[in-house]
Amino acid sequence: MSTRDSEASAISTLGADQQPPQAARRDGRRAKIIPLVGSVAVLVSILVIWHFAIIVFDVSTFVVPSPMDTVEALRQGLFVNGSYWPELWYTLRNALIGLALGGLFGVLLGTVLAASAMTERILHPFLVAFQTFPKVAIVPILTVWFGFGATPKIIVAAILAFFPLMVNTYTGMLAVLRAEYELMHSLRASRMQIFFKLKLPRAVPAILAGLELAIVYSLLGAVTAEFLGGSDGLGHLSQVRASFLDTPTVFAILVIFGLLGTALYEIVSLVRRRFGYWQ
Amino acid sequence: MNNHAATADVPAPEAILEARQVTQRYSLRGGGELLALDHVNLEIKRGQFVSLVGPSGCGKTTLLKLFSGLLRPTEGDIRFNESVIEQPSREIGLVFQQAVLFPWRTVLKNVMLPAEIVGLAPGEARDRAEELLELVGLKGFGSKLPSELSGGMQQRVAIARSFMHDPSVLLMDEPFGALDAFTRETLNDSLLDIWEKFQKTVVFVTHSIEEAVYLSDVVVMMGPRPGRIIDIVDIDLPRRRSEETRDDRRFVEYGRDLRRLLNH
Repeated sequence: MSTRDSEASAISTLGADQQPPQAARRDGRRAKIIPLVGSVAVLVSILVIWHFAIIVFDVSTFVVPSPMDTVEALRQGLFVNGSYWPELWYTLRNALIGLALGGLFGVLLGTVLAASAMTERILHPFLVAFQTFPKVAIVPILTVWFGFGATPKIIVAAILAFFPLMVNTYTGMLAVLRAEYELMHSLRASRMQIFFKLKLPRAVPAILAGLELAIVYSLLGAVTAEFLGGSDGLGHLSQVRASFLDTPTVFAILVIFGLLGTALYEIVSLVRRRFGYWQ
Repeated sequence: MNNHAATADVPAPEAILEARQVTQRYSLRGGGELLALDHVNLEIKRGQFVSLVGPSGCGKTTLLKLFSGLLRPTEGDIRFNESVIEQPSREIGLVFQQAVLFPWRTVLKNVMLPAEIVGLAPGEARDRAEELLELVGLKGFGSKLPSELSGGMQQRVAIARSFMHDPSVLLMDEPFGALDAFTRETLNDSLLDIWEKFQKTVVFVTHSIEEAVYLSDVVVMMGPRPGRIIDIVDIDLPRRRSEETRDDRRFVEYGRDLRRLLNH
């Protein structure tokens, strides 16, 4: 989906002589509308099946709430008493701070590894060990060290965001071609010029692809850490409400997570199409 | 034949590039060595268009790399304006077999890259880049991305870029090797146009004898195992080469003679 969109935007930057003819443009519009209508139809079908399945199989609201109950819980939490907003902000803030910190370190370390094969070889076993390690397992000890506040959540979000950006920065920078280096060396380019005019732009599409993953992981990290200690955040709220068998609220929070994750991913996709246009 | 032919010429003061007793060895994976160049002597005069021709493995690309300063010879000296080259110089530009354009930059920005690195004023650089694009027949393509151009057009951009920071020597490593015959011939003419305008020294690697004869003042015939110079032939055909050049009896003879040298 996103690759097709980026092709479409690349085409739209062509000169006037390359504009597709009328008929093709109409086909293009149809090609965009049909999937959209289809997606909405699938959503409606899911809601209808969900609604009637609960009636037909006589499922208790304590097990699965109906779509109506869920919408009502959303309405209450978002617009009537607004109790979800501070929790949503808390979780999102932790995820984004974690993303920024982890992402920054990821890009920096990826850059260093790409610049020095020796450093890469020395650090490789540790990176593999750390990457394969189930990282949320360190939450209890983080809680011991940092308490029940935001710090352990931010750290977990940062650790999860770190890896995709480190790996993608590294592989993206290794994609520089030998002849491209030779061109720069023949011009006596400085190390800084080679970095900013060649290695970094070369790696941008890979870095943005890493960011797409990292933003989802950082949200995952922030929410998971809330389950394991603390008194704030949407993850914590859903855990508390679940213990009261308030399943409509739990479902409402799941819907919010779904929308939040999609929105974050789409924002990064937009950035990716803007700066990775040439891929 | 041997490389005495190369040393037989009396060294002329106008030599801009020189290889003196240059030997290049590569160690092979799993032991052993490859003798890529064996005691090569060559002198390239200022303003000349010189082609290095030969079958693969004759060391022509290695010799070009040595002239660029990207590679240091195992033995012997490479000299530019009589001083030994120890690293790349901005006076020596490169054109590769692939265009090597940065895909994230527009055509104009690609041509301007050397100016940015060397530190020319952006306004001046832009004017010059536009002039160069016009010279290679790409006026109006400045805002395109390289991916929107054909292979031949991309190579035109690469040639325009190589003239950007005004080096006195251009080293071209089979720049048209990946193109079809027709595109290649039109690019040969574009290259001669721009060369005649700026009067650079060009060292041009190719495996096409016809292309070498058509373009050059001097053709250096090289042979493989070990890489060495077999002969150096002055091409005495009138300048302002054109379609008529290809019909010239001497053009055909040069081609035939050079091919004979190779098969010897």
